[in-house]
This record gives sequence, C-alpha cells and structure tokens, in this order.
Amino acid sequence: MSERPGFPTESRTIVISKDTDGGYVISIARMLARKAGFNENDEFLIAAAASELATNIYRYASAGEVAIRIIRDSGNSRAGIELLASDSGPGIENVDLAMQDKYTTKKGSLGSGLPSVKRIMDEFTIYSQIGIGVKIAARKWRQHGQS
Amino acid sequence: MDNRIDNPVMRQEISTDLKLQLLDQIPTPVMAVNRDFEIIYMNQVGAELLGKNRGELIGKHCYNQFHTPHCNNDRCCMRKAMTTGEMVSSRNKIPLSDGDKHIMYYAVPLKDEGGNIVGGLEYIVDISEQVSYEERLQEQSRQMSTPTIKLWDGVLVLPVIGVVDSLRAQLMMESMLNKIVETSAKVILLDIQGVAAVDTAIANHLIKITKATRLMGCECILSGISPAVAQTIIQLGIDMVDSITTKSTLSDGLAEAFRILNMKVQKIT
Amino acid sequence: MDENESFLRTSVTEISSSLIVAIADEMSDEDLSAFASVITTQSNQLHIKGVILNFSMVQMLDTFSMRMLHDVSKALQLMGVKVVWVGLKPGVVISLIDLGIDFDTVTIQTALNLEQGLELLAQESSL
Repeated sequence: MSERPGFPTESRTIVISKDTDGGYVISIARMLARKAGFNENDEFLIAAAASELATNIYRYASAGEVAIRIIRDSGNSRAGIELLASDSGPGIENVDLAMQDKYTTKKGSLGSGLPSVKRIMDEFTIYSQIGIGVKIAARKWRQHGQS
Repeated sequence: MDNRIDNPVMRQEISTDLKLQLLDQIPTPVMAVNRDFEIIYMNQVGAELLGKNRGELIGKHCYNQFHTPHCNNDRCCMRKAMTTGEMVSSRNKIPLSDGDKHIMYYAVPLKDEGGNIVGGLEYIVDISEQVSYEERLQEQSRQMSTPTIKLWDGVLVLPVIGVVDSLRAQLMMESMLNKIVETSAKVILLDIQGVAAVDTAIANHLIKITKATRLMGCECILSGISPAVAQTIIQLGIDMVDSITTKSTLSDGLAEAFRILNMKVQKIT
Repeated sequence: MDENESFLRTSVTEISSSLIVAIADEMSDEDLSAFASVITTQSNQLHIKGVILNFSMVQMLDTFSMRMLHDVSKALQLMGVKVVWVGLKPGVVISLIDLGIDFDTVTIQTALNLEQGLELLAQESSL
C-alpha cells in the first residue's frame, strides 16, 4: 500500500488542546519531513509551518487537531508532506484579511502566521465557516535532487 | 492491509464463532459498530471498562457510552476511518468515575464482500502509564531547560535546546533576569543553535526576552542562527534583524560580547 | 509650592552636572506630572548633562506611569540630556513586557544599577 500513488505512507494526528501540544507537533513534523527525504532546511521550515497551524488552533479555537502525513504525487515520482489543521472554533471572519502579513485580531501577536505557512508550503487551501471552524490543508513537495 | 472480516481464506480456517472468541480473549477493549455508530460487538474487557453487561450495550450508540471529547464529532477516528477507508488512530481520554483514562484508540473500517464500508472495528489501548511518564519527563526537562550560565565576567549564556513554548519562555526570561542581577552581567548570549523550530510565537518570545534584558541594562545577543533558522525567520516575515544583534555562532557572539565590554582576547607570545 | 511638595516623594541628588532621581514606589498620577515638570525645569536651570532614574525602590509599574516616565525621558533627550534608567527589578521588567510596552532603548539607556549607570554617563561625557 505504501507504494500506491497519491496515498499517504505514514501519518500522525496530534490533538491540540494546550499550549505545549505545539511542541509535539514540531517533533512529529520534523520526524516525518526527515522520513519523506527533505533536507534539514526544509525540515525546519515544515516544522515552523506545522507549529504555526497548531498555535493558531490553540489561540483562536482553543481545541482542534493537526494531522501530518507523508504523501506521494499521482505519478508516484515525488514525496511530500501534507499538513491538515482542523478546529471547531469560531472560524475566520475575513479569510483574505487573515492571509495578509502582520494582520491579527489578538494583541501582542506578530500576525496570524497563515501567510507564512502559505509561503513555506507549495500548496495551501483554507476553508472557514463562521461558527463551525477552520480547515487548512497545506502541502510541500520534495524538490528533485534531494536525497 | 486487508480489513475485510469476510476474507474467504480466513473463513476456511476458522469459523466466525472462533474469531469472536479470539476477540473476547484480547485483554484490551475491542468494539465494532455499524455505519450509524450502533454497537454490534463489544468484548468482555470493553464492557467491564464501561461497567456494563455486553448484552445491554448491543444496539446502543457508542458515543452515548464513552462520552470522550471525540465522541459524535469530526474528531472521531471511527468516523474518519469509515470516511477514508483507512486505519485512523489518535490519543483520547475516557471520562470514568475515578477520573480521565488516557487511551490510544485505533479504528479500521469494516467492509462487506463488495468492498463497501459497512461499519468499523476499534480497539483501545490504555496509555495512562505512558502519559504519566511523559508528564514526568516534561516536568523534568522543564526544570533543566533554563540554565543561565556565567561564561565570563559580565557575560552570561543561555543555550536553548528543543521546543520553546510560552511557559518555557517565561521561565527562561525569569532565569535570565535574576542571573543578570546576581552577576551584574552586561551581555547575555541567547544561543538558539539547538532549538527544534522557530515560528512566529517562538520568535515573539525571543524578541520579548531581548527587550526585557535591555531594560535591565544588559545587551542580548542572539547566536546560533543556522541557515535553516535564518531562512525560516525570513519566510515568517519577522523583523528580528533590526532590533536584535544576531550572530551565526556562539563564538561569534562571544567575540561581540568582548567587543561590547572593551575586552580583547590575545595570544601570549 | 504644591508642585514641589508632592515631588518630595522622590529624592533628587545633583552630582557633577548630573541628576540622580530615586523614583518612589507607587507614585500617583499627580506625583508623576509634578515630577515631569520639575525635573525638566531643574535640568534646564542647572545645566544638567545627564539624568539617572533609579527604579530600585519600585516594586510595580503600571502602563500609565511607564508612559509618563518614558515621555519625560524623551523630553529630556530633546533638551540634550542623556537619560539612563537603572535598577529595574526582574519582576517589574516581566510585567512591563507582558503589558506589551514598547521601550525605546535607542534613546533611553539602561543599566543594572546606579554604579553602572554613573559609569555610562561618565563614558558619554568623556567622548
């Protein structure tokens, strides 16, 4: 099954309910990124993106989860990492605004962190519904030449 | 992996009865539900966990029996397993009369001969000991995680290793500020070479720490900025460079500290 | 003078063209504004080159006091007077950071204690 194209080869789901859960997300993201064959720089960047998603869940929705998985594209030619964040919080009122750098609804924050997740990852989709929650899917593919 | 109970090869070897007996013998809770989350099977250990008879559980909704934070919402692994057709597992807590029980549960979809998902099978592993071990480990690492060390007269160093969360950042700040008072330090090196990741929240903590030390008249140098850290900070769009003195290695940081203190390291000729 | 009376809550010492001001704990808003006008006037009259604000007696500082003291410091800076804050306690610093106060460390200098503060002023004047 691990060689079937487009299917995850390994996945972990981390429940976010407290501040320290972000640390767990970081460790798992680094481990899976390393397994998927990313270099150290990318491993670090992916961990930052995953942590950003976890922080947002904790901060704005107080509970939710982050799933991290190793993926393969349909041609089975490259591996990647997929981050799926979901919460059942209040939702984001204005997604376009939240995707702008340095925009935040919280005092003392450097911004929602979502724009940087988008920058770090190759693909980024966000789905938000007021009163229901936010779902974010982001993927980063391994560049050719990375061992 | 083949999740079908109705595997023809298996049927030849053992009868369904025997299979159910095997499940009964497993010393950890096992449960099967149909697509409506009605319990169609529960082994003895599972019934004991809930303090009920096996018979009375059949046909009841599983979420009305377990009442975990995942029950009857999108976080339910069983629901996910039935939607995705894959095995899904997660940590969870079961509220029991003597407190929450920490568990890991695994859900696999059950398929009929046509491959249609008709329900799900789930088994539960008690991870209370693992969780308490983790908590102990976390507490220990927390206590060890903020060593502010005097490196030279007037120079302190705090190596940051692993994950920085807000509690640890707070402890780091307290440890640093108290040590500054204690040693009359003029420069502190915050070395982040060993940090597991930097995101906006962590960067925010680091910026706050450098601001705090400055209020005490102590210059804070952020050292150990590896290429990965530097790239991440740029990607995150954080203006750190303007407000904080940064160096790539701890030794560069120490050289800068000596410069601030008007000191010079010389080789004895 | 009413102004001077409330200002007595802080002690001001003049040493070689510098003022050393001991900030009292829990200064009222009136104390603070009186302090602001007196300290700027005195600096001007006495041809003061540097002012040290000593916070070592301060156990707590709220946002308002912080901003007042910050503003006074900036005003002094505009008058060409070097300002050094000394003796802020770790607890005070942590609460200021938690309140998210932006402190201009470029114009206002800080030192751990009075001694280091005086050194800093001496360095500045010898340049």
